[in-house]
Amino acid sequence: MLVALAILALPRLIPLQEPGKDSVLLPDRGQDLPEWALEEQKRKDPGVDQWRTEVLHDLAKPKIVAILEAAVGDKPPMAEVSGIPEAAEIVVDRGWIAIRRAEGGADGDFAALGDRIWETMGEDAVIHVHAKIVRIFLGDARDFSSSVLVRMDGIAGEGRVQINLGLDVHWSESGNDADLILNAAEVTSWEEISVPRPLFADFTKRIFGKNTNWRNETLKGVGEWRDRTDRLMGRSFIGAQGVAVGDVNGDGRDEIYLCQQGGIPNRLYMHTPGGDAADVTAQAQLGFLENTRAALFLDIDEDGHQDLVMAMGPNLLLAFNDGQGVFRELVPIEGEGVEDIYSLAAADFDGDGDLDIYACRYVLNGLLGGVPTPYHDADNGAPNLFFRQETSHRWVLATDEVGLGENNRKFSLAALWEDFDGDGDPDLYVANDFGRNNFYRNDEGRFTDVADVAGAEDLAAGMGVSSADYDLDGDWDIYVSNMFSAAGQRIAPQANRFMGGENQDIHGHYVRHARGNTLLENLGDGTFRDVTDEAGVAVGGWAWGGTFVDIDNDGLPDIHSPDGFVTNRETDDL
Amino acid sequence: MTSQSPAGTEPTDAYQQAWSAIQNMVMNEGESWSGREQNHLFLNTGTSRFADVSFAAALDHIDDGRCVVPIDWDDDGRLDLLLKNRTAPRVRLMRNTVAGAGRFLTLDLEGVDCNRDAIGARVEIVANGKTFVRSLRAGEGYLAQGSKRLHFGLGDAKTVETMNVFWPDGSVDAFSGVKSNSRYSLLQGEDLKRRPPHTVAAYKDMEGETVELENRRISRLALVEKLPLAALRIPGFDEPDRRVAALRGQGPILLTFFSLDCPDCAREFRAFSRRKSDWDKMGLKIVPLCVDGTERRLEARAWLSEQGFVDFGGMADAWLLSALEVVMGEIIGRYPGTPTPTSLLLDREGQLVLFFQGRMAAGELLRDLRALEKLNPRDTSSSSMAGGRRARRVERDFEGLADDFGALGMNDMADFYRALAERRASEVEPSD
Repeated sequence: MLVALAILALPRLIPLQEPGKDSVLLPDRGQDLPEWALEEQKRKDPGVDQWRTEVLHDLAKPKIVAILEAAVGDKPPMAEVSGIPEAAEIVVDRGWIAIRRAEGGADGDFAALGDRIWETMGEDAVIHVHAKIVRIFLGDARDFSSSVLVRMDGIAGEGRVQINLGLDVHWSESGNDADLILNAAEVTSWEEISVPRPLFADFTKRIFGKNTNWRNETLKGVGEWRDRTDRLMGRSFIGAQGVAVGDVNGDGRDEIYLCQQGGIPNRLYMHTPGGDAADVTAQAQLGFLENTRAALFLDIDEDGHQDLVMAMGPNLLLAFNDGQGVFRELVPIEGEGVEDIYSLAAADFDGDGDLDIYACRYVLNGLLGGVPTPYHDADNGAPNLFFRQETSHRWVLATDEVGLGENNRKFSLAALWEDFDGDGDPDLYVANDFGRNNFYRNDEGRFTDVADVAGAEDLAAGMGVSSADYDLDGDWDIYVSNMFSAAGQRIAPQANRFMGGENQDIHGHYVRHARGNTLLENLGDGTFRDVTDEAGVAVGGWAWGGTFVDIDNDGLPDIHSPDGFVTNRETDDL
Repeated sequence: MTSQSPAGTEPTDAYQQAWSAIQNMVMNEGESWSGREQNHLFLNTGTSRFADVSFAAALDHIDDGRCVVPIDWDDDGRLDLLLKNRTAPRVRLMRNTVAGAGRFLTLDLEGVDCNRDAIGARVEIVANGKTFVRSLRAGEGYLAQGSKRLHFGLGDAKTVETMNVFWPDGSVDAFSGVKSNSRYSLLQGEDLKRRPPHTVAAYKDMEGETVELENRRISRLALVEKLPLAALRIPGFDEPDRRVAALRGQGPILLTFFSLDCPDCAREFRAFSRRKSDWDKMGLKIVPLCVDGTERRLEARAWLSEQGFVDFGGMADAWLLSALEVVMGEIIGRYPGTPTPTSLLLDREGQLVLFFQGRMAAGELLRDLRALEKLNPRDTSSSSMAGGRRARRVERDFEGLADDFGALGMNDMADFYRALAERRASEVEPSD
């Protein structure tokens, strides 16, 4: 979700008083917030709205971490814990990694749980605790319980141990405002992962660190560049700029093209024989300052050299590689409307031998009416565009003509071409925020949205889509990045409170929205089964471009999910 | 809890306001929204259940992650991960160090009777009785495109039983007995060619290294399109005010707003003094403007003399600071506030090209002055100062500036921009 709607009025210009003596030349006036906005902001405190579960969550959250730290510390809390696993069963044992799982276990207390954790971690480990409360169940009077996802991280030398456990914790309110009484807990799931050394090592500095833009650009985020770029190039905050790789110079190594926020040049990093990513932007003439959301390397003119397609505003910019790695010739391809293009995806949809491009778009530019409504299944987004290639230099919009105008008012962020139904032509899956996704079946160059009958709607906050045959049955499964929201999981199921108890028929959609990422298993004919829960791949975070990748060359696609929306200076999260 | 969405398709005021409020908290009040979330790696265990191994993998970064692109950067047969973030570092290259990774096979395809990139090609490999399938795509994940090199993990299979390449035009190239732990390329309809690995000695035994971030703030803002400021009125200590137009000489002008009580300002002026000969060489005129109020005029002038600044300077007045605020609206799009020192670098024509919020590095300023010398003073573009180029022409909003200045009763400024707007309207549309 990345709506940025400037409905707030710009501040009035007020002539300054004589300047003061501190080191502030001009103060940040912020915005003159209207009364309603201040009211809305107050409601950030769940107490204002009397959301009892949220108030309890805020009390319980720091205690959970403290309790678990105490469990592995000197003074374990005096409370019973059931389901402490005695032994865990080995699931994966490959030397470089061992994974064990357990179900059920013995009754004991937090001291026993602590002992069990130490047994797995090894006595030299330094342990860190992470916890998320995903449900609060109100009980009688002052009693309540919480379902917690816990991750215990242990480091000992080079080795790492990670315990993923589910924990139900039972509490009573003490009557004293800020205090809770811990009654008991129950281990509901248990998974141990141990590795003799981490599976990945950070080579960022080795590879990018010699470039002159390293300190000011690579080591500074989008937020830190805020108010440090010319507004004529657009103002960015969300970080919706992507990356493409392709072999620009034909030496067999992929270069990297980094799309950047407006006002900072996009970067082409050449993959040098020495293994560096050397900034060759200027030589390549690819340092566009326009806000560029996505790019694709394609050999558009089929001369054996990778050209570049960039998404800038509602348009495409084609940059042709002259064979020397210089992109001198530029061809702008006009889109439609004013809304920015987000992800791009190319395929030869009609088998005519050239590539065509599908371009996702998100929010309508208009202010009112741009807000996704209804939130759970909005149909008022900006239409996506389909560019059909006529010649390398001439592309035409053919969105409606080929049937892609159907269900085309979603808030689309990503798309993927793949032959999901195995009939030989590429179908199109589109991940949409605020609602259901599109699954356009391709029948000889004509598209029909069959997401509902194919079981591929995944009504949620779609941000990204990837595909692989994760279960090795020969067909293409789909992984959709959505939002996992612990808060949403706690709130949406409260039928009598959520949405003021109204519209209970759609509460389920909100619960679903908060579940997280989705794995859709292809049943072989282009219809899908949602296997997310059994596969255990929902809980990312606010996920974006989750992608299949086989990290250990066992042929089984694994999944990386990049998560997180906006990290600001305040650690207290909305 | 902000106001919730209506169930229907008509947005309510409360719902729209909720969006605005939450946006304001995140954009303007420093709140995080799903911030510091960890990234995740799910390992396919071959059972129906994946395992979250994020920490074990050292991929549990709290970056605001956006994209992940698998790429075998070091060409060792294991897929590394290129990560693109919102937060710093903007990009990460995580090298795959899985010690017991299986065997692999990679394949570069080139189409002849289909698109040359072979986008849409599907490759099926049977090894150890299992079928592995990959396809060539352009665009996957979110805002991302992965490598065109197809990468197969093959477990312990030394050779593959069969390998079938299904091209987008429907043709098939079939192979058998292909050796694994090898890299191949294939031109449609031809035979497989083996490609030697790129041995990168530099990677041997190299350890990873945590990326250290710094708290240092960026001060420099480069305009991509110059902003004429010739009408700006600069107060003098003893002399009458001068317009920037009258200050114009042979070289650039640096207007520096400072306070006597600001250590950063003192540091900045010391650096200015040390490099006086450099500035003289570049023809730079530094105009110090004290913001401490008229009662400290004498003090300010004396302090500047001590620093060696005897040229034109003055006390910034409310008029000038209001003008500065309008300028910031035009170049930043809002009024984010600014500390002292704040400096504006104008070219010899009195056009703003760089805006510094906070202390600048003197060495960087020298580089900027050299770059400024290379700019064509008649060209309104200053894209090269921002280190790049533009795909499209953009113009400064002279009309908007005229309106903003007019609304503040700063009519001379309003007239200046109105005249610029009119002149532009009468000119033939320039081409970039």
